[in-house]
Amino acid sequence: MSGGGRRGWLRLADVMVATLLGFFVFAPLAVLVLLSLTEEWGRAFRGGLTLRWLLEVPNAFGAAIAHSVLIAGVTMAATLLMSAMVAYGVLTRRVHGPILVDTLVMTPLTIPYIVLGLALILAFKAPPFRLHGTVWLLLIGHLMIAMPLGYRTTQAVMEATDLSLVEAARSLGASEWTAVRRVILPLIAPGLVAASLLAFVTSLQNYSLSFMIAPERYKLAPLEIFTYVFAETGAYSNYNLAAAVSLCMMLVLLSALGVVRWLTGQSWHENINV
Amino acid sequence: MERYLEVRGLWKSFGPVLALHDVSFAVERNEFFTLLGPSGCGKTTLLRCVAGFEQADAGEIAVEGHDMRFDPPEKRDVGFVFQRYALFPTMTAYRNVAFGLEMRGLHGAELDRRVQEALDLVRLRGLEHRRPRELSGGQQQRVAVARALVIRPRLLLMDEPLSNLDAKLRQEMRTEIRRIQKETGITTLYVTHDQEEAFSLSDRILVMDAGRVQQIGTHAELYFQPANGFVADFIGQANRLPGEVVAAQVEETTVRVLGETLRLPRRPGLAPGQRVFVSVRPEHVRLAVCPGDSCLKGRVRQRQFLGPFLRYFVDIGGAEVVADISGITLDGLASLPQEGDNVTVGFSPHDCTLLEA
Ligand SMILES: Nc1ncnc2c1ncn2[C@@H]1O[C@H](COP(=O)(O)OP(=O)(O)OP(=O)(O)O)[C@@H](O)[C@H]1O
Ligand SMILES: [Mg+2]
Repeated sequence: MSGGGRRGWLRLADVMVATLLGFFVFAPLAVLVLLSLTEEWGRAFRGGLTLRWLLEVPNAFGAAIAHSVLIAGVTMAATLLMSAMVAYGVLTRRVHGPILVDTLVMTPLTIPYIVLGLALILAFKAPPFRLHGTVWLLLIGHLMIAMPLGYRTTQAVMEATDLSLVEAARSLGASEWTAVRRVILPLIAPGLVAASLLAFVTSLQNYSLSFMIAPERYKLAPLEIFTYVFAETGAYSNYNLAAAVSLCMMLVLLSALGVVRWLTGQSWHENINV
Repeated sequence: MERYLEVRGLWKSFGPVLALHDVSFAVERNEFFTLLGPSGCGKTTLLRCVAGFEQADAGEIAVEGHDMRFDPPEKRDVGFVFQRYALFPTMTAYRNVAFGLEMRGLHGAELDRRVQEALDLVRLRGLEHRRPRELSGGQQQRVAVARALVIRPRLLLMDEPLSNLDAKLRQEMRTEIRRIQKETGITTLYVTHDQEEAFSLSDRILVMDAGRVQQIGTHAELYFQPANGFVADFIGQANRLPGEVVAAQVEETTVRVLGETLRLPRRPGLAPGQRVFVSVRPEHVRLAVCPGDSCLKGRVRQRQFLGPFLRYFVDIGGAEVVADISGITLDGLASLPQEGDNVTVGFSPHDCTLLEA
């Protein structure tokens, strides 16, 4: 290592990056926390702290959060299952035309959600599939926008695994399914966790697509929050409550992260630097 | 001869690439049989067909008379040692070895006894609780061998298992593999592109090139009686001198090589006028400072000191002959031909092999 000056510069760069990150990433989060814990914005420490908003969340947003978590959970499970199957199929050459599969799965990423929503409505308004106005259409839409992220992540981790592991296990007497379950799955678990979280978050926080295709009176958290933030009149325009529910959503996400990590067990820590 | 493993008329192509071209051979029980050939000649493909990882286009693969061509790998009961080991990264050495036994429904004390036995066999006691990435290449190799052997398969298949080790370790593991094979008596099909490795390990060797069997035999047969030019070149080193058959008698064949006439032991199927190669190994070539009479005359282009022997490159009318002169001493060096000297090149007819051009 030559020259302390260079290191000094590096340290300065570190500090700057940390500061910027701190400011742009954590400052808004801090505001959110503050908002949900104070009586009135701008009087953080005069009006005093309160749990009022947080306690009001279950009442005002209970149904919406439950729906959002349910839809996100189903979307996540379906994304994971489908991505894993397709990625393994492509890898073992059982699914042909990987480029076609890629294009099919990734295309929704290139379409503005508003346009995608419109397309979904038009496609499912008339027979044979009259799904407009049902939860099914909502699920289809969320699956379409979650798949590109989930599939890309799953496919990347699968491609990095050595398929001769499956062959080794099979030569030792394991069926293909047993080989995948006992050898490949523990290996790619961290990647699957990442894929699940991406799918879950994509669904949970989506506004524009849900806005177009969610059934009437089917409350979803992002839609409700929007209403609270931008409603012009009445008791509705309530930033504090909106912040409180957002905080709750963050907690939901963090606990989801915790659960998935716990489910994949030790392998998370062991494989993270393979 | 007891045909334990029999492969008959095996064909396999990958699109336009013909990887196996009518391959047939038989391996005896307890035999160490090696597939030897240059890179890309189809060795791995052949081994994978036997293991069931690859489906041959045509042909038969039978162990003890039972055709297993359509059995999935898990039903074939063969142990496979991969070039890059393919150890299960999330499992310890112990669990890697135990895997095959678990698949066979073993557990408890019996499983433990068998695993320990296998670990003993490959001398890995004390390292069983490490994961693959905490083991050295040689140790990983041992785990891979133990894992394949512990299930007592009908057949052990190894695909260049030593190619990822450094030279010294490779020597050591070579001896180990042979010892283990002798101790267990397991019929082994081994793949390598290294002829020294093949020679030191095998009972018999199959030489392959471009998907075809070139010759099957013991090391002595391959070395002293190569079936064709490819084998002569691939096994050891060989000079190939172009010539033409002058006369084919009962006892001997007369060949004209580089302007000289040589009488060589007869090789059937050669007619006068036919183009041939005379193959002779460098260690069988003798050199003398030119006395000025018969034999092939040439000029030393280069002389290399290689320790146990001197290697000469001699130019004979545009053709090059390599000669290895052994048994040299420090005092003797000066009296041997130097670079630029005119020399005569001689060899005994018994050391020559006639090959069709
Ligand atoms: N899955 C595959 N798809 C297409 N071609 C293949 C495949 N596997 C092997 N081949 C081709 O078949 C031929 C034989 O390959 P193989 O791997 O059997 O050679 P090898 O003798 O094991 O070589 P090496 O010593 O380099 O391992 C090669 O030309 C190779 O490119
Ligand atoms: Mg190979």
